Amino acid sequence: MNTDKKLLRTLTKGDILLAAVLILVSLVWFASSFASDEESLTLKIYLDGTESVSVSLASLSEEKHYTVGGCIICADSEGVCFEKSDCPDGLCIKRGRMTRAGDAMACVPERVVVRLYGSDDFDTLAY
Amino acid sequence: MKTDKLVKKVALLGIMGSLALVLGFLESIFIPDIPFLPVGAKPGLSNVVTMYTVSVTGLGGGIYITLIKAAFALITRGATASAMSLCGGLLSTVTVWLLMKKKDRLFSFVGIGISGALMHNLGQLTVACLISGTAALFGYGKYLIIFALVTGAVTGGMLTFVMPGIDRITKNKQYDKYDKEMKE
Repeated sequence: MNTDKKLLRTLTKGDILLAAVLILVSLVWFASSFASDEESLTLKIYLDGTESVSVSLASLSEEKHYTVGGCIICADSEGVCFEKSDCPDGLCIKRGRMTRAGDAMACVPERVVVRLYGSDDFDTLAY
Repeated sequence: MKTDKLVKKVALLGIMGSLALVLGFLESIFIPDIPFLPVGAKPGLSNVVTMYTVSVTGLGGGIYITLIKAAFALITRGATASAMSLCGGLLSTVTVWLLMKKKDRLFSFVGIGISGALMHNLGQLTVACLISGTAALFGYGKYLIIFALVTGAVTGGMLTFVMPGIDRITKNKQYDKYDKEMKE
């Protein structure tokens, strides 16, 4: 299927349109997720899709560690992060801390998902 | 003559398969985790190889490269990484193939690269959501769209520059000369 490869070497209108649409979509997406600056955050930890921890971050006066599946998750009143995990690559730990409503992170090999919900549930439902 | 073509194809796929693995391995060593970018996201340099293979041999060759990459991921990075590599790779390869097959040129290599990268990320994100049992991770998409735009443009651009060179090698005038001499 050696089609005209020369034609493939110059940028087309389609390329530019595609790039523009993608930039626009992600900008709107970013804007809508950063618009919500919630104060009361609820931390939920899921194992295999079922909720196993649900706690309001404001109620934590000091660091607390949750063991879910093969992961240890560290939470305080400001945010949450993966601290230890049995997974092979440790990407969940490298992801670092998250502090915003609507944020989600996961350790996919251990099937553990951590989410922060704001007080406005409709906002997070948009995902 | 038919076996000659087959031999050439086998050799090409062998070279391209190993090239894809080496590129994938090298980028995982040399490219550090960049802050603000999705963790574990890689530029996908081996997609240059997949795109080239699809353009020369069609869909079959591209899928072969994808399977090789998934098998390599299974050995080196475990089952989860392998499933994500396989699903993203297949989706991306089929997309690239469809766009290249199209007669009226909608995209150049750059646009095809971006589409491929986007589909690759979508496939991986879907697998991540399926394995972890929640759709929440799709929120990651906003980072991945921008990342796919940049890396797809880079891989597509690379192919644009590299294509004439590899074409010269694979068309292999030396081989054709040898072939002619043998027949005489």
